[in-house]
This record gives sequence, C-alpha cells and structure tokens, in this order.
Amino acid sequence: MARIELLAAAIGVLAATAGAGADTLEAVQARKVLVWGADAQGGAPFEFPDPSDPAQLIGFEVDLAEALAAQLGVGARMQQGAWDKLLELLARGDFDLALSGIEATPDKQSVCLLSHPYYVSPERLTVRRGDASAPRTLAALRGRRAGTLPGSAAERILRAAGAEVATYDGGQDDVYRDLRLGRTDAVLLDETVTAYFGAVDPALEVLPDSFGEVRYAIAMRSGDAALQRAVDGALAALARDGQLRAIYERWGIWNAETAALLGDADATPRGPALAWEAWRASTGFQPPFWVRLFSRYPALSGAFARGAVLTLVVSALAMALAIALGALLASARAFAPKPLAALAVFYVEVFRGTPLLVQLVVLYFGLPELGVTLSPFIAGVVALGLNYAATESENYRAGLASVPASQLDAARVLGLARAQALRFVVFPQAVRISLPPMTNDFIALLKDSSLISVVTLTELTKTYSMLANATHDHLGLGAVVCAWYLAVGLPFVFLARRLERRLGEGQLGVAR
Amino acid sequence: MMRVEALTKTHPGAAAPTLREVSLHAPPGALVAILGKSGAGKSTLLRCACGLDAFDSGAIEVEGTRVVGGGDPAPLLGKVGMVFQSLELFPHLRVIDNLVLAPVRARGDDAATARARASELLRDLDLPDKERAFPSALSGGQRQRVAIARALMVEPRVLLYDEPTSALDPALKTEVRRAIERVAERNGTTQLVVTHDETLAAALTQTVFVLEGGELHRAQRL
Repeated sequence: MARIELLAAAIGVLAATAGAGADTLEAVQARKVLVWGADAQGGAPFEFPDPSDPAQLIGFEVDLAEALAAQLGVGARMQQGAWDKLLELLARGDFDLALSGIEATPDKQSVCLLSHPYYVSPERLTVRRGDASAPRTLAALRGRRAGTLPGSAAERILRAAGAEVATYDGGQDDVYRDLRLGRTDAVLLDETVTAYFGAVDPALEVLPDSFGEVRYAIAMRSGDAALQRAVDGALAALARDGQLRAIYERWGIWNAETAALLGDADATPRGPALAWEAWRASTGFQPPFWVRLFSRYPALSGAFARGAVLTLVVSALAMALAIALGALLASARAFAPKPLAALAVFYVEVFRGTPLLVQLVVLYFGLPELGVTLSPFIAGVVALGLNYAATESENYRAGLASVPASQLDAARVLGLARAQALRFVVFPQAVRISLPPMTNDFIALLKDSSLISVVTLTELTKTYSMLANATHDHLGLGAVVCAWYLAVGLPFVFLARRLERRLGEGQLGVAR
Repeated sequence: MMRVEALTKTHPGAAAPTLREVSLHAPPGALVAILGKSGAGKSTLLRCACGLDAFDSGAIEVEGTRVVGGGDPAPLLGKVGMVFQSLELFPHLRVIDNLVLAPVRARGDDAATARARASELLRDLDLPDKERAFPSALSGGQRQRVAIARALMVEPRVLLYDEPTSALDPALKTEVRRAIERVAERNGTTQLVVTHDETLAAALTQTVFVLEGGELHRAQRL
C-alpha cells in the first residue's frame, strides 16, 4: 500500500480531507479511504521504506492502519507529516487521524482525542558493550550525555534524571550512531525502537530493566467523538480476534505489558518475528557499492524523481513570486513616496531578519488560528517566495544603484517619459548587475525548499532522509541526492549565464 | 532660437545663487560659445536650459515654449537637446538603437523611418559602419559624434554641448569641432557650446560669452 506520497498530494489535492468541525467518520466512509498521518522518517518498526524495496512503505503501524481501515470497511492511505508536528497537522485537517507511535499522555487530551492505547512499550536503556563506566541506572545518568528522540517520554525521564540530553530530528539511526561513536554514553528509547536499532548492533548492549513505559494511542481531532468510538470499537475487535497480537509478533515487539493491555494471558510469542528477521537481514548486510549503483539506485529513481519534481515546481513558483514582489519592493524603495518606501524597508528587514523555518511554521500552523488554512503546497511556495522577495529586492536595489542618475537625465532630455526612461534605459542595465546574485538566490532557494518537508511535503531531501534511514546507506544515497540537486539546479545556472552574456553585450567589465 | 532672461538659480542649501540674472539670446541657427572655469555654473545653466532643473526666477524661451522661474521646467524636455560632458550613451544598446530609442518611444515615430534617418545622420557624421557597434567599441571622438547624432534624432530647436572636447586629444577635438560646424550648416539648429577651451570657442564662433561667478557677460575679443 502507501506508496511514498505522490506529487498529486503535493499539489494540494490532500486538502480534500475534511477540516476540523466536519464529521470525519462520515467523510471517511463517503471517501472510502482512511487517511492516516505518520512520519515515515521515524523508521522501523513503525512505518518506513522497505530496505529491500525502498519504494514500498512497511511497518507494524502500516499493518495496524490497514487492519483498522478494514474493520471500518474502507481503504487506508498514509499521509507523510513531521512527527513532532503531527498533532498540529491533524488539527489543520491534513489527515483523519494520526497513528505514529504517539504517546498517550494526559496533556494531549486538551488538544485532541485519543483512542484506547493499542500498544505498551517499556523504556529501554542502551549502552556501549564493554563500557565499564556506562550508566546502568537512572541515578547514574545524572550529568551524563544521553540520546533520545525529541518530545518523547524517554526525553522527559532523562531530563528528570538530570542527564545531559541530546535529541535528534534525523531519526533513530542517528541516536544510536552517536552512542556507538561515543558522543553519548547511553540511549533511552521505547522498546520498539530499541529492538530495531539498539538490539541489532553487536557493539551495543540493551539493559533488560524497564525505565518506565509509554502507551501508544491514535490521535483524532477534538470533536470527532464518533470516529473515536468507531476506532476504539475496531481496536477492541482486532485485539479480540488476535490480529493485533499477530501483527506485534510478526514485528518482534510482542511483550508482557502489551499482553496485559490487550487482556491476553500469554506473553510469550508463538510465531517467529518474520518482519524483524527480514529487517535485520537487510540492514545488517549492505550490498557492495556497484550492486547498489546498478540495481538499488536505479530502482529508487521514481521516488527521487517525484521529490525532484516537487522541489523544482515549488522552487520555480516561489522564485517567480520572489522576483515579482522583490521588484515591487525595490521600486518602492527607490521611487515611491517616503511612507511606502519605509514600509518596503520594514518588509525587507523583517523577512530577511527572521528564519525561513519560523516563517513557514507561522504561515502553516499559525494562520489557521486566524481562519486562513493554506494547503501545504501553497504554504511552501508562499513562505519561500515571501522570504526570498526580501533578498531579491536588495539585489535589484543594488542593480538600480549601479546605473548612474545621469543616464536617467540623458533619457529625459531626449524626451522619454520617466517610466519609459526607467523601462528602456535604467532597468535593462540594472538587471545585468542583478542577474548573477539572482542565479545564486535561485540555487539557494532550491536547497532551502527542503524546509517544506515540515509541512508534509516529500521533496528531495525528505526522500533522501527516509530512504537513507531505512537502508542505512547515507553515503551512497547522499551522492545520489546531491546528483539530483545538481541535475535540477545546473540547467538554470547555464541558462542564466547565457542570458548574462546576452545582456552584457557591449559592456566591458573586469570579469565576464 | 533660445532666449534666457535674468535667470537666477540657487542650489538647495547653498548660501549664494549659482547663477545671477543670466541673460542670453541665441537667434535661430546661431552658434554661441560660453566660456567658464570649472565651478562657474556652466553645467547648472545647461541643466536649467534643457528642462532638468528648476530655477528661482527669470525665464527661458525656446521657439514658443516659455518657462518661468519657480515653475516646472519639464516642458523643455525633448525640445532642447543636450550632449552631456559624460555623453551618457546607453551602454546596453547598439549605436543605432541609441539613436532610435527616443524618436520611436517618445514621439511614436515609425521604427523603419527612424532607422533610415539614423543611418543618414551617422553617414553625415562619418560613422556609416558603426550602426551595429556598441558604444564601448568606439573611440572617444566617435562616441562624441554618436551623442550628437542621438541628440539630433529628436530634432531639437536648440542643442546644448557641455564641454564637448574636454577629454579628447587635439586631433579628436578637430573632429568634434567639424561635427558641430556641420550641424550648423546642414540642420540650422541653434547651438550653445559650453567649454573652458578658449581655442575651441574662438574657432567655432564670433559670439562668445564668459560665465564668471554666476554672471554672464559678452567676451572681449579673444
């Protein structure tokens, strides 16, 4: 199921999911599809690209979502979203429910509805094998560097224990890599994660003790009580007929705590953890580089191409917006009456003086508070466009400043109106000066467009992080994603250079 | 014809006026030279005369258009041509496009007609093969003549020159002087040449004024 999200989703079709307020259960039944939000970058065993076929999304929650949807009599489609933003995205109406290892904590109940827990995960501490000074108790963690995922129960436990906490946005892989490299002394995470990242690494040791536990629940919008009842009913049915247990066993995460939760007396797994074995086999052995080069990377072209198209389309539209608005701002500063010019200065200082990421988050998550809900695609284009307009306007101002005022005088004396003199004499000369920095900015924008993954869009960088996390092939896929960025950006660089040459005809400069 | 009547101009913030009651009459087709050291107010006089700068009092009249002090001098734009000291050729346009820009855009002339006239002017000024060249590829004397041709394209009744030979060596000075003389002969345009070069002034005309300390008076015999 859930192929890594298509461009169609990007173009904003996904805004079709019902917004807060409407009856989501009815909408799901009418649509015949349950759209569930999750972060595939979180990795195994929740939802992640299959290491042996990374175009395919797998995970115990993928299986759970499908079983759940089947109970409701509909299909299931995953919607990608950043893990720490899932509840905001849910509130915006980007999907029907969030199912992504979300911890059932009381504080969440004020912002959303939670289902009955579907899984209980003890917190496990992982240390370096053979590290004599490794912290093995909560008390020993005081003052030590410990890694975990941001916003997790484990983070709260570590902080309460007085540990120096390192959190990672990149995914579980990074958490354990830093432990292995000695950048941290311990990792505290859910057993689910530990089983897939800590326990498989011979250099690491997982302590058997439980350092606390978390319960995973499904989040729904406040007010979706009908959906909540339906989901709880479906979960109960899945627990009764053993489907949940079968899923957890297959993924190697069946434990006593969950057995107790589901009212199952037997905590010992009955079947082999096939999915866990497969995962371990595929990640434990990296195919040689030339095999990856000729079989895996070509097989991933589709995923990267979709990411590249999204990156390119968002960047091109954002640049068009930046150019138009930037020209307006520069003109206002140069030619408009003082209050308007001051307004333009204010705009430039605000938009280039604050982080793009903050602007994007405010636009996407903040504006809905004022009743303006933008689709992820529009929000991405607008945020990038507004931000880069500030930079562009400064480019154009530099260009305008480079044309001597006497050129304007000469044109006026010849009888050209001011607007004509600007259009035919001043602007063409200014553009020539502004073009090289503009090209620079477009390339920068192309790279900054990776930020739109914050608003659920899977562009090039996000595609890379997901695949690299799933396959542990950061280096090889890193080269692949860099090649894609260059393939997208370089044609524009060549075009710009040709244009520069044409505009620069007849003009002498030190550098051509 | 150009008549300047008691023109006084004070730059904003300046204590004393740059031009004091400057009066001047240049009959149709006349060639007038104005001598003055740098800082004497020559460029200010020209900027007022072509409509770029406003002035305090007095008047400027060009073939029926009269502008009085304190008013908007813009009506003179396009009627009075000017060859700037720095020429101000448009570096991004070829010679021919420098010439046809204003006639086509400002006056709405037909492009083909304007081009034909531009070619003719360039031939007259000994620049027949430079139409497709960019200004940066021309010599100093050639640029000077392109600037003159460009100014003539909009058929001004009066043509002003600001230090037309200041940056040229002696041979090129002669080239430019001949060009100015040819304009007088063929176009009958009234021409005002501002310069600090007494030899050029004497060679061009009998009608020489001196601008000194913001005041203009008829020169003694040179």
